[in-house]
Amino acid sequence: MNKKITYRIARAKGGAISRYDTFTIDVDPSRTTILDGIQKIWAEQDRTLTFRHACHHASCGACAVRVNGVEKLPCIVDISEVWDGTSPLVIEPLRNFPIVSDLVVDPTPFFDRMRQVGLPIICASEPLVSGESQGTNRFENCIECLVCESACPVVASDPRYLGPAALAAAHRIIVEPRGADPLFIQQLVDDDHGCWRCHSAFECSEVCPSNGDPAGAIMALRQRLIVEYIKRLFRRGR
Amino acid sequence: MISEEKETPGIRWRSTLSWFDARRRGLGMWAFVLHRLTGILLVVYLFLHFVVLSTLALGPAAYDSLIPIMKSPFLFFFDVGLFLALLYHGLNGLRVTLVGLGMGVQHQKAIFWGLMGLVVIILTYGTYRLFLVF
Repeated sequence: MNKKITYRIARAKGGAISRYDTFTIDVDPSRTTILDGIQKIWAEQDRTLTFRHACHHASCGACAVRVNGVEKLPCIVDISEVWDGTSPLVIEPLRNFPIVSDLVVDPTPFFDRMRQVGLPIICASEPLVSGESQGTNRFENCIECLVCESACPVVASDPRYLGPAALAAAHRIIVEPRGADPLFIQQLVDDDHGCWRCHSAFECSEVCPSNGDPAGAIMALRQRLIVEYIKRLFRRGR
Repeated sequence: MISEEKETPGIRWRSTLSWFDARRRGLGMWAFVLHRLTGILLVVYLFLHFVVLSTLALGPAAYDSLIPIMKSPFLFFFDVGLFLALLYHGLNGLRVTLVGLGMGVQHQKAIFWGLMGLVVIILTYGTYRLFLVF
């Protein structure tokens, strides 16, 4: 059944949110995704609204925004899942990234961090090297949607922090190198701005639309490094 | 379409304040925010404690003059609040340490609730004992 849904959308043309515009659409909230609503607003009410979208099925990660303050992929979330029946839906761009325009952010800082760990997106079809896999969380599920980076409270205050996605990818390389140099990656993450910077808020895993577990990977990295320290200590003692 | 102007706060303040914004966030974020807040509270208390102790340098009379204040009902509730902050910070700190060592990561929420149960038990007993001496 159709209902009047109000969207309160952040508008940012100068690199920061300057105002919120309110739009009302008439749709069935249980059969309309949040992204459908945004597109309807763009098509029928405001052609200057800027937002990013591509696949519409959580494959590209392009459309990620904050809905009522929480990071979501609006292409796979029905309005009814987040709408309380009366309040407007507040749509804002992701945090911790420069805003290009309205709901579009510049992902460059994310890719800079991912580049540091060698952009380790591994094709699912690539055969595993025998003996390398240790029951890992498969981070090719990471669709680079930036959601975890926006939700992380540490990324918000430490621009040098590697961030949950890059650290999770680093963990993946260490346990399943496939020709990469795991020692280099291990040294990279063993840093004040690496895995030790995480404050265990677990918000990255909470919001991940692919059910990845970046926080779990960060904790696994720490455990691995601690075991390495202890081993080194005993080797020195001999 | 209705427009409303909004003043954008400075990036630095926004970043710092976002640490304390746990609205609609998960349990881990709430635990993190409370850990920060109780940590700040305990640091403030530590300075307050030093200030009170420093009256000893002025002689026993100066310190004794503070005893009625210490025995006031306000201080009773302050002490209970302080005990709660101390218990929360200590026991959640234990959870953060365990999880940070890679132990019980998948059960971190259950560990949190278990430890909070312990907080309630110890706080109830501690409050009762404190009530007896007030």
